[in-house]
Amino acid sequence: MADIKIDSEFNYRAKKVIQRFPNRALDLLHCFSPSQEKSKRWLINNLKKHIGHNKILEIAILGSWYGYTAYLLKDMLSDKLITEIRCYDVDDTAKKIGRMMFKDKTFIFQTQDISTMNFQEYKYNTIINTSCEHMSDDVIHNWLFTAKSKTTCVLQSTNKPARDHCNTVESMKEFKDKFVEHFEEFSYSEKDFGDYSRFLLIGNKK
Amino acid sequence: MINVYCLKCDKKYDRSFVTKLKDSVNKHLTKKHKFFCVTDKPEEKWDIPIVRKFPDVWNKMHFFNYVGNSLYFDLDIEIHDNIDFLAKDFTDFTVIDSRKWKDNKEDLKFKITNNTFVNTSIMRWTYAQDIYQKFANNYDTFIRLYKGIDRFIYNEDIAYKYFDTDKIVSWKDKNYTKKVITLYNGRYKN
Repeated sequence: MADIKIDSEFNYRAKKVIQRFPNRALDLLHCFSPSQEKSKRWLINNLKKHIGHNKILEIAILGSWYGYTAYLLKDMLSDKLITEIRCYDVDDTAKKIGRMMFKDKTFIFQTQDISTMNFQEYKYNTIINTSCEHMSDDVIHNWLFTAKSKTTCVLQSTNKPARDHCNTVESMKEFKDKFVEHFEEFSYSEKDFGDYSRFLLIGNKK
Repeated sequence: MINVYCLKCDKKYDRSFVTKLKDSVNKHLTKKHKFFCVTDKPEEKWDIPIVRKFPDVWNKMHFFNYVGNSLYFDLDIEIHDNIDFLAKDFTDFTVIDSRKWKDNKEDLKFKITNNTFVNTSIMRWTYAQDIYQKFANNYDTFIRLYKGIDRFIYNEDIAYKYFDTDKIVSWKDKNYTKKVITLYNGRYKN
């Protein structure tokens, strides 16, 4: 068994979560799966290039699930000063599980439907949405429309069909064309995951 | 007055299943009632066009928007005798208890696979909009977690009661003999 490394703290916390929420066991494994990690590390590497020398980050994650993106951001952007990572999810149990999994005081889990939020009222300079395939275009446009000027906005979507994916896109072009109007400068990228692709769009709000 | 509902969408069941159910209900439910079929292809005066908001397997959720003494039947059931016992008390949301014809028990595997002892082939309610609202508020999560409405109801702390009767049987029951109502879950494929 020398080829695998088991993080005992992660296991301990995951066990506690499964004891309290047994119906979330498989979903928890899904959240922390290798493909999720690969997809999120790819996003953060691209975000790093985009933000360049910007040192202080106040981040919101929309549709944050159990907080894996927050954890990887903190891990991979250790040269930045991250003042807060606010994790929004409409699922109240996701908040409870996120709090059990991560004790980092920078992470703030909040149950929130983002469809009616006005981001002008918040001071985030980076807003990340890795769940665009789970949300309608109207919800995404509302977020981008209300985000403050110069905010770095990160959008990720996929063409992967799944029973909970209500808004997949066929191509990078389709994804970019939907939302590029909100940005003054932007970059985009596509990653092949075998059976499906993931699409990434990063832009500065006009 | 009792409103009796069924659901016919897509091609899994042809129209004869609706006609058969309607005739059976009319014959075996002596209490005053009206029959409605929620469908994607309205043909008869008792048909109600479906408003699709969720993936098809979740179509039954829309029934919880209907208020008043209500009974719902899946199309893959057979009624052989009087069903007035279903229409006695509409106070609580009531479903079928499937424990007696399931071999598995509620152990850890049962829990982590989000299994269920709830069977919604027949449902009874007066007011269940809170169930619809709970689902609608977070449907993306529930669609990810559960394969269907039975698992959602069982695993999400929905308040329900089981029908207190031995008159409903499944064709999968080891000691299956036709009683008042027979459920044919899994007999008909898409």
